[in-house]
Amino acid sequence: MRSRLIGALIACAIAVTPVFADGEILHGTFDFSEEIGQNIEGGVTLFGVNQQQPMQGYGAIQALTLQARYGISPASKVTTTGPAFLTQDNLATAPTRFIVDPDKALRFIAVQHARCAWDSFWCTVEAGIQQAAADTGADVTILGPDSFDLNRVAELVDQAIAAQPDGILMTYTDGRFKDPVERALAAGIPVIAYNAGQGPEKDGVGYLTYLGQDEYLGGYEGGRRLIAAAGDGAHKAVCINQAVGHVGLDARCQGFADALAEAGISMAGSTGVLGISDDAAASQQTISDFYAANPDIDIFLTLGPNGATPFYGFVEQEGLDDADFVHGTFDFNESIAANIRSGRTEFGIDQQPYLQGYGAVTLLYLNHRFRTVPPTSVTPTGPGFITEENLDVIPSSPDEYRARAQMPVDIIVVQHARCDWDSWWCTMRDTMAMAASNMGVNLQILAPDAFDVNEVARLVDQARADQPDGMAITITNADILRDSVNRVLGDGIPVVGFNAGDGPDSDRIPYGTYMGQREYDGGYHGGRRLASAAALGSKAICINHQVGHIGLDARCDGFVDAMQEAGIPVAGSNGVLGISDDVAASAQVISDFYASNPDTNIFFTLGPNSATPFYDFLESEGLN
Amino acid sequence: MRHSVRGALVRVETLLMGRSALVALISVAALALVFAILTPSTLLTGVSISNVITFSVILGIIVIGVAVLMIAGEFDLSVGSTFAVVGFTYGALVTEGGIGVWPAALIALCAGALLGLFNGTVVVRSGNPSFIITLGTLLAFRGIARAIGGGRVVSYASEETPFLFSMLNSGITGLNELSTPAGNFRTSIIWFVVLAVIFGVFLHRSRFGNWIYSTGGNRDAAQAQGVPTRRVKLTAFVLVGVLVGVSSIINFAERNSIDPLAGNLWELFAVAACVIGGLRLRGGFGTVTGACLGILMISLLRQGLVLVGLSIETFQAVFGFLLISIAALNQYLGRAADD
Repeated sequence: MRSRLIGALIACAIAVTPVFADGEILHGTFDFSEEIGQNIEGGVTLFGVNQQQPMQGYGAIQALTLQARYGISPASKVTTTGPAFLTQDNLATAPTRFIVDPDKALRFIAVQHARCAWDSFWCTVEAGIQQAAADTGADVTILGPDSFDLNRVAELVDQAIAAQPDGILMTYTDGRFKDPVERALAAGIPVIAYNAGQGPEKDGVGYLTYLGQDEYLGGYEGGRRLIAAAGDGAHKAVCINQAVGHVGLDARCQGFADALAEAGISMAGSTGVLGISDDAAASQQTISDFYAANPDIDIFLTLGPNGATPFYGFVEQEGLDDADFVHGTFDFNESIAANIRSGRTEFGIDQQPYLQGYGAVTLLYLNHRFRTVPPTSVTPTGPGFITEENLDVIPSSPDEYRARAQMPVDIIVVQHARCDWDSWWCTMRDTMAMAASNMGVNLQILAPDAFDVNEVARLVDQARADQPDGMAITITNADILRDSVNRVLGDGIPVVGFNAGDGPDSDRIPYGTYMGQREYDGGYHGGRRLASAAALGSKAICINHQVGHIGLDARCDGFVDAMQEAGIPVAGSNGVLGISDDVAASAQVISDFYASNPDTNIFFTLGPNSATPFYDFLESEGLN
Repeated sequence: MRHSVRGALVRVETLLMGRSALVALISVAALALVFAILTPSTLLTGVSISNVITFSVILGIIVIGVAVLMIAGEFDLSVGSTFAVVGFTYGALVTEGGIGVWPAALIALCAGALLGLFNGTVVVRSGNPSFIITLGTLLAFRGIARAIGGGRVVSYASEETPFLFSMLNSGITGLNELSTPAGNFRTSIIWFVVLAVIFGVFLHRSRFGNWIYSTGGNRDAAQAQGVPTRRVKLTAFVLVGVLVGVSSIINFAERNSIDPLAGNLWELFAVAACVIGGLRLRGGFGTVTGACLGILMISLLRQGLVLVGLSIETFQAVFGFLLISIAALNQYLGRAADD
């Protein structure tokens, strides 16, 4: 009787309270299955978190090929491919329903604020665009003004829209491009930014992503390399900035300072930044004076040729011994190259312009073929580090880039599962094969006949015997794979991790980058989506079918953190409900939980194995 | 002319008769030759050769036990699952259990022996074929490993490698650095060879070894001569369990981490290695050397196919047909020997 009364009251509340009008239960899940698809279609489930296999498969082969041919290295240690979200809006392109319009000829237009014809930097970018067009079979036209003229660039964007291309790639150099970009988006033309921009979030306009250098990351990773080069003992550092107040350059110094602070190394002066100017002679004097006041400085970072040139003058003038300090710089020119060769400079940080052009085209291409969406606002193409080791590998001219496009490349992929016994991996295989065929690469995929990480390690060693030009490996268990992967790296073979792994730092294996979804991020962003759809007075639970599994636990951690940020309480002691792989028993566990926590209305499941019992629970309770 | 060719064939057959290991040796050599011709620049390198040998070890130690048992006329299909139970137990003891690597090794070996004893006791007492019983324990032990593992991976994290680990299974740096790219020779090879020699000598030179052959060859005759055939079989099962234990500890010494799915499908490759090595399923025949050559051939095939660049989906097919060919050859030579 009482429960019926409460029920009636709730029903009234639902009827009269607008915040409850959207329906009581909110559900989001990881991954995708036919059942999840039906529930997304039916409005029961808001989304499936999608880790975007095509970006992993295609991306891994592309990264290794570009590294083998041109010395282009992955900019960040983790290359996120997810989370993306499968919702009612994009369900037609769910992973089981790939591939979209495989035969449709694609036409893209590039709009940039400068041209190779009058600024040689852009020749490399354009070489990248043209090669990507040739590789993917897309037709790409490059447009740009005859001289630096941002209004003209804005016009060109609008003119490009008129041509109704399948995508526009452009330099988002200025806020004035916002309106034209919005028009392109409204016309259903996807837009991607390269070389100039800050990412859709900061730029406040919904293009896909921005490909360019992550300045902060450049300073941070540069700092870490200089610390390692300086070795043990006491150190003091300075960041020499030729344009203090410039947002990008300040971010470089900030990243550098943070890396040093982490290592417990102090910075010279009050801020650790020494401001100089574009006047080389005056700047050299400024550096000398600063050094006289701080003679214990032995770690120097300069932010480009305009800092490196006066720095080299200062070193000559003071007669410093190269062994007594370490120096790294942003950017690259003849003089920096000579100093890297002589050992005076550890590295030049390259924004990798070829990758900006090449990557922008492929991301658009993948967006068309697989509807993948770059998951991060900024897709870093730099920092790429030019060191003594790869100085000679990096092409010195656009012609050299072109000449190497046909260079034979052998790539071996070693993964923990395989298409013939785990169909999930078929998309991975297909996208890898597609990338290999597009780029003219010889690809071999190895995997054990059943899940067995020791066998994966064995295959890594066996693949190593073939001395390929690059290897992509699922870092399923870093401890088991560490020695084998280290042997591969020891031979100078580039390695990228994909699909399974946690990045070179936490895996403690110095491979290039991890391409995949970080489980915590998937949980966190999924949680944020649910929180933004939630009504007042909500309460949340994460349903975990394998408590103790590191990856699944991380998903729940991310979810719970997102809930706490949004001020939504979680049920139970820690917001996690543990179930098992037994569907019937698990549905009962969820029912029992709901009986004692009837105010819970946000449910997050971690894959089909927890979504299925959840749907059964909804049905048995009559909640769907 | 025709007569002399036939005569030469007969002489070759005579040479191979009763020397089952020789077929395996010739198969390994022939296969190596094929791969050397197909991929001359990559097969005959330090890294390829060391890989072939090193990757024979973990399964090879198990194969020694499986061979002894097969000669005694029984099989153990549960070795892969036993590997998971014992290996995971060992991993859990040294990580979560906080037990030292030495005492934990002793416990793991005992656990291996116990599982072997279970197999042996049920087979001997029930009189059911070991194929059925160990098919059951293949599933049961895997289930146990999964139950205690629960989807977990146990990893041993320590800055310093324990002496036991480096002794059992560490890279032989001096040897490896002789080639570029560096080789992959490991101390585990030594233990494999030592165990193979011990068991080889034990089978051929000891009274118990003779009992094993006679039990597998003709059980009734052996019993009539006073051979305790039940005890022989039981002992052989326990030996398999202990050797699986040794193998799993040596494996953990290198990888420092294990999950409950380890050893999946290994039982099939162990039996295959024995068959390639000239052992007969009905027992009483074959040598440990033959079985070891069998596992070496599997390892060579795996490395060779990677180098040739064959799609990995075809690996099993190639292996399967090769296995059938070699088994047929063994069968033919065996019949010739019996005639």
